[in-house]
Amino acid sequence: MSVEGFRCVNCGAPLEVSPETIAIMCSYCGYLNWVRAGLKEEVLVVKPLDERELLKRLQGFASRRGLGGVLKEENVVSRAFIAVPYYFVDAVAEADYSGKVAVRVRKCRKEKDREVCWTESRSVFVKGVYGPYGNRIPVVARRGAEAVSAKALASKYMGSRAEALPIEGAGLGKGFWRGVLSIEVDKGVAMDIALNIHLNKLREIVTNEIKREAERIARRWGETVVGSTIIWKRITPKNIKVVASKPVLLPMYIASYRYGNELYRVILCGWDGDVIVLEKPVKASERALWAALAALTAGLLGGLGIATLVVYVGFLLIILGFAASWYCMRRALAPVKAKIFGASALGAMERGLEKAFSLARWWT
Amino acid sequence: MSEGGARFTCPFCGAGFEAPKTFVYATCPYCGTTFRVDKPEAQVEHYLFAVNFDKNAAYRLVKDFALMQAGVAEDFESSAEFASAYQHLVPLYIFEVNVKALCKGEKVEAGEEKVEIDVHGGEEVAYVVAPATHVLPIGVPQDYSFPARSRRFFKPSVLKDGVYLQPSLDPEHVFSTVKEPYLRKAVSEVQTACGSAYEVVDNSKYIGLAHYPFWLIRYKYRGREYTAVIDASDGTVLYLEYPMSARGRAVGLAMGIMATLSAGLVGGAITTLIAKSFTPGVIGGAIASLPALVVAVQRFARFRGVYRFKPSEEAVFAPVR
Repeated sequence: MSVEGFRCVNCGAPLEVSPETIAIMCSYCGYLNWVRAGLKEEVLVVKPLDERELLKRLQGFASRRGLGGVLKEENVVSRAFIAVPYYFVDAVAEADYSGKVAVRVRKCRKEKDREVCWTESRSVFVKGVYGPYGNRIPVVARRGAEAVSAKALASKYMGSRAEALPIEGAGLGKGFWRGVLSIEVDKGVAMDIALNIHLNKLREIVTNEIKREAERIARRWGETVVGSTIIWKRITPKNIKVVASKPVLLPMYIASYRYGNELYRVILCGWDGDVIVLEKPVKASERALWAALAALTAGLLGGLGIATLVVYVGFLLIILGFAASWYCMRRALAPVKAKIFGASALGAMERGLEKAFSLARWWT
Repeated sequence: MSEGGARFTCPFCGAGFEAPKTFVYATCPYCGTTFRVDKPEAQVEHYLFAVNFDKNAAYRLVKDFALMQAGVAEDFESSAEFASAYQHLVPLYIFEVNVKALCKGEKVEAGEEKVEIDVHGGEEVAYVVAPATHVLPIGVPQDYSFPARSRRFFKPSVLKDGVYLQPSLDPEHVFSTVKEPYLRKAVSEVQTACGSAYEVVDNSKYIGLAHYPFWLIRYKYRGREYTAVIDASDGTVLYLEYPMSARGRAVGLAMGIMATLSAGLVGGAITTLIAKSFTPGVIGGAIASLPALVVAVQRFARFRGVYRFKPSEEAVFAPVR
């Protein structure tokens, strides 16, 4: 298969087309040629900010972070717009559920002058309908684009409701077209992907609901609940409705800077210049800080552990100290890069599905 | 060509050439057409990821990355010398897994814009990229995520630029292996939804073959040779050996020991506060900090530092590549 031999419809000049190409602007006459004509009407685009304006906003972010001297015009190694295609899929579903849960309850009895306690198991049956549960799921229309920045960009878009225009009326420059990633995933597959994500989430929620409801019932019987295990469950998703948007191209701006021997990389949201992620080398002082933290946590937990060794909690504390010192020392030595997340991106990511990001906030 | 070779005729240009019998696919050295050896008439989608970093740029990345490592030799920048660079084109199969396990009597109404389902069982969808050969000359991590950008149609001119690895694994076999866990999950979902009355619909597809470029770079530092592997398409450093300086090692080891000692002191202070005795806390703190000491010793007790790319760490933070 080959798409070689593509020529400009307007002037006949040869065009360099790759499997990525949706449309290409002729470098001779500037005419916009559609390689995949079917997408012409279909695709929406969020118009990127002017490059100069983007760099100005980045400069502002950098100086607030004490990196003003680094992310300067003269240190730029490379920079590019890319436009990532997404579908936004609305999914709604209900679920019939039933299940049998072993609820562990705490029992106590007064024996002469002391209290004796033990746990017993109560078998609880639950049944019901959950939902309707709905969500809007961004699906990157690319194969193998599971990167976090792509997800962050999508949730930022959903949060900001930036305007998406039909692609032809958006007045996009030549530089922009070079960075447009082609749409590889058709709408049908995008809906399947969204269905998979949505129903997995629903199954997870309903599984927790089964446990919670069983525990509620046990509490109503006057029991003190300490935990529960599902013995069997049935979860049947029903009345499912999935609707996909038109494909939307979201612009992302990637720049890298060299400062002395150090390399910095930054990803910006293309339409408002917010920093999504900034990658920077780890400083010696940061390494020292992590090493100090390793010593401090190990000392605290180890000391406390020894002091409470008579109770079995002590062992747990020492093991925690093990883990903490191992983690901090690895942080001190292993990473060659550190990341700073922009505030808006962090918020967007937390609103999204990534649990890992609450960690990231703590970290930065 | 050596023993075990067979003669093939290119279905496109008709040229004859020899290749090992073990090949599943052969690429014509004259016109670059890739075809299945057992089904030459079947069309194969063959892609190539562009080399965005040439060998000089890749070597620059190696040096930059080495300079960022803790404890790297001080004169690294001036004393490291380029030795060699080989480009390896690693063959990959790209699959789209799409399996559904439907409850008996499940009704699906699928339009262009929307899908409606009454009662549903299980489903799994994923894109999977798998190496198409057992013999990878370089260590590419198992779950390495290949970047989405820079895919081109295959061009035969790249054959002369590097070591072109032919796919040797049977794509159907690889496919069924990668599909297995997805099938299992969908079936378990449908069993949870509607018991044993279900039917599996498999719409999975084999998308095609792609070749992905990596640089295997060797450089010298004070007479010793060091190796690095770079993703030639997006510049990710996958593997790097670098020389450590005596001073860097001493500082690193001292830092490890210091950490353990200070942990002991902090522990001692804690037990003094709580139980008015110093020594048990010292022991406790020191014990708890042993893993940190082990990490430091592991890193600094040797002359040669090694960095390995870990997909699990990058998966959370990696930008779109």
